[in-house]
Amino acid sequence: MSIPRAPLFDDYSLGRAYDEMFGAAGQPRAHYAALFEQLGTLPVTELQRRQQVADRAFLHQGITFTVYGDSRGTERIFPYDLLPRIITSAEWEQLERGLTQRITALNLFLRDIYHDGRILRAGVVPRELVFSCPHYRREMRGLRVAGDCYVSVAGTDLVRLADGQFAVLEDNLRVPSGVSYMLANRAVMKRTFSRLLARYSVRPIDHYAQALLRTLRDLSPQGRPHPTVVLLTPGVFNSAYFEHAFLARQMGIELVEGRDLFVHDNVVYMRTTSGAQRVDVIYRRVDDDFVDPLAFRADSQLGVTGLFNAYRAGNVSLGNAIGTGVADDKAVYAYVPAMIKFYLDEDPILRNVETYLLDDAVQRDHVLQHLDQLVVKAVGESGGYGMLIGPHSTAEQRAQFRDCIIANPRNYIAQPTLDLSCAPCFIDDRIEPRHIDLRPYILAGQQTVIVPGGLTRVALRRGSLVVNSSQGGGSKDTWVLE
Amino acid sequence: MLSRVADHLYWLSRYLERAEHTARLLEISVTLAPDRTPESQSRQGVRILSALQALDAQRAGLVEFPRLAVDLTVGDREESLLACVSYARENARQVREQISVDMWEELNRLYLRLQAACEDHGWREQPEDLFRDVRHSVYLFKGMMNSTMVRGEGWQYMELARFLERSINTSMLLDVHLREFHDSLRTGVEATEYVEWLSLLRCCASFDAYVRAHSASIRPLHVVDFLVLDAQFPRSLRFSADRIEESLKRLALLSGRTHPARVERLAGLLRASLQFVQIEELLHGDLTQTLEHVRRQCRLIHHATYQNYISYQLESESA
Repeated sequence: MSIPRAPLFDDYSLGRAYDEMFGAAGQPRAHYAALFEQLGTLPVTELQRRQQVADRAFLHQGITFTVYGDSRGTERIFPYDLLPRIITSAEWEQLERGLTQRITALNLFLRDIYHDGRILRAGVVPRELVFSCPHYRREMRGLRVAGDCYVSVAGTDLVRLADGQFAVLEDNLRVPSGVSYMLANRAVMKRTFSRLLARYSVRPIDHYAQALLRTLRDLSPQGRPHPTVVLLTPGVFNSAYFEHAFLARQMGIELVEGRDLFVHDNVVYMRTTSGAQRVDVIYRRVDDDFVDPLAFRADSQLGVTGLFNAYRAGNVSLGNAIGTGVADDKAVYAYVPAMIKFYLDEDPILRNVETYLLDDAVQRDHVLQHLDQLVVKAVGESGGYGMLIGPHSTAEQRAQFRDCIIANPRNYIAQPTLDLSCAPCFIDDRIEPRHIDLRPYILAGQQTVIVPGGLTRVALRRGSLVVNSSQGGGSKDTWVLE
Repeated sequence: MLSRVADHLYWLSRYLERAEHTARLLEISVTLAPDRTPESQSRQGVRILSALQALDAQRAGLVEFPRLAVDLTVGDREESLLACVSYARENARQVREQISVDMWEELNRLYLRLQAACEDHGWREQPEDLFRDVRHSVYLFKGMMNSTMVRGEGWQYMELARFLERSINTSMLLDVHLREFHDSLRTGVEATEYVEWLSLLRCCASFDAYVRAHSASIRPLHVVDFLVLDAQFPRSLRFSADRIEESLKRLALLSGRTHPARVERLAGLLRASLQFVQIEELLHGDLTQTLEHVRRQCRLIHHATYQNYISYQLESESA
């Protein structure tokens, strides 16, 4: 395919994947034309300068994450790509409707399985699948959650496939992270491409923290009017600590650790300089397992003893609720379209990616025969861990996954290897295509709010399909046009 | 405010005050080195280490410049500038949402600058530049703190910490100085000692202020009077005691505690002991003991503050 002449794009080639910037004929798409034109006028030295400005901004602000398993380098900046990813208003409108529909169904599903189990009795979702999920929390049976809102914050991963349509890759319904990068990327973009940003009318995202705070206040237990909301962090050594501090500051709420809280008479308090102060809503960025050593993992140093009892008693709310992981289990994922139909009687607006469930003997045989073409994922993992990408794997890795699948089929799913869409990225003094995904952040309270855009993650290694920050991924700013 | 947050803000501020003090001692010593004999240079080295209570360095005999300056800048010891700034930054990292973005970024920049000084030895050619940068960076931080932070509890804990640290540092420095030059208080400055008294004033950032108050004639009695009892100079012990008491009063109000606290009584005692006394009276008694008394009171105030607001017993609170 030929691309219009522009020296920076010398090595840019179009493959099978959908290209965000160029149409099949090699012409820039209409909404990318102004960016393309601007790139034609900028010397490479100017782009390098702006890249330096951006990198320095991240370093100086200390916007860093911690890489687990790396004993030495505790802090690293999250690589930032200079060029924006642009989404048209029509595309966004469809995403917004699709995501709202999906989160509504998922919240209904969670309420249902922890109460009546209608969907299980109707046989739409297999009982066995739900109860065998390690993130299913029996302790949540019959517990009323404020506003029936189990998932207040979701970070759904979307990919754009070769036909240009978006599909949902996974629903992150536990403690999704990355929203601070979305906000930081925009702040840096304002410094590096301010004029271009103004020329495109890009929808703002700065109100995220305000919307998040409103969503959390909606969880106020027993409708108490001025709830004290806090953000519970595992602490400064957590990889997302920067984000926890950032969000707490933006919302003007206390950032607490487990050791700052205590429970007395089923009420949660924090230890302040003026004595004990009651806490109403906890935006917890600590996993279920670690929230309360009394109820869950006894060895947790991060949680609050007695918190779950206070939660059961209805004296405190948690966002997200305990036990939401059952709905983002990668095998349960396959049933989300059926849930939408069951609860809302609507057709799903956003489609799923074809998924093989390995419990099923026929599907399992098919997968085991085609391991070199498929992607296999452990159902409970996140962050790009526990994953086999067939076409990029060695025979040894495939043998290893084969054994794991046969030993515990419920623990894995398989999907076709997707051609994630590509976007132009500034890499080593040239512009090259790289695979990307999109994670919008959905706030579900009395209303559902989705700040236009999200975090576009980039697989920075050439040809790689893995966008996770822990696996060499980066990110770029995401523009949704008016 | 969370007790833990108060704790971090307190130590953030103390470590930065300490870094500023250490940087100034090193800067003045380096710039005055040409006016000193090699022998008096190493005596100054001993005094710096004593004033900073870097006892093991003293024992190890690390008293010669520039070795001492390097050691106290990037050396692997907890008195070093790098250590102080790292501790300050660690504390700030724990409470990032409490301080302004500007403050955090300035502190982070200072940290990266000192980190770079570990690898790149270029600064050793002209070390006073680095010391001045550290000092200016702390000034900038405090300026941002004063112009961006609300005068709430957080600000008051930082003020309290700064003046407690400053009192201890100034009193230690004076103590060490007087042990060696006590006799000049009665005899006046010998020409050979002039540089030492000048150095003392500049180590307390007080030369200009002193000259304006007492003219350029440096008289030891006036110097000590100025550094201990002056009511308006922001680095005097008296001034610091006023600020400590004021911050504690504010903290009591802001926290809404009604019961009278021991910590306020301690602060009042410290302030009174410096407010209603004249330098001649101090000289009749034991000046060293007075300085020791100031440091002891500061330590008691520190502990009482913690008992009252930060690591209090829960039983008496929530029951």
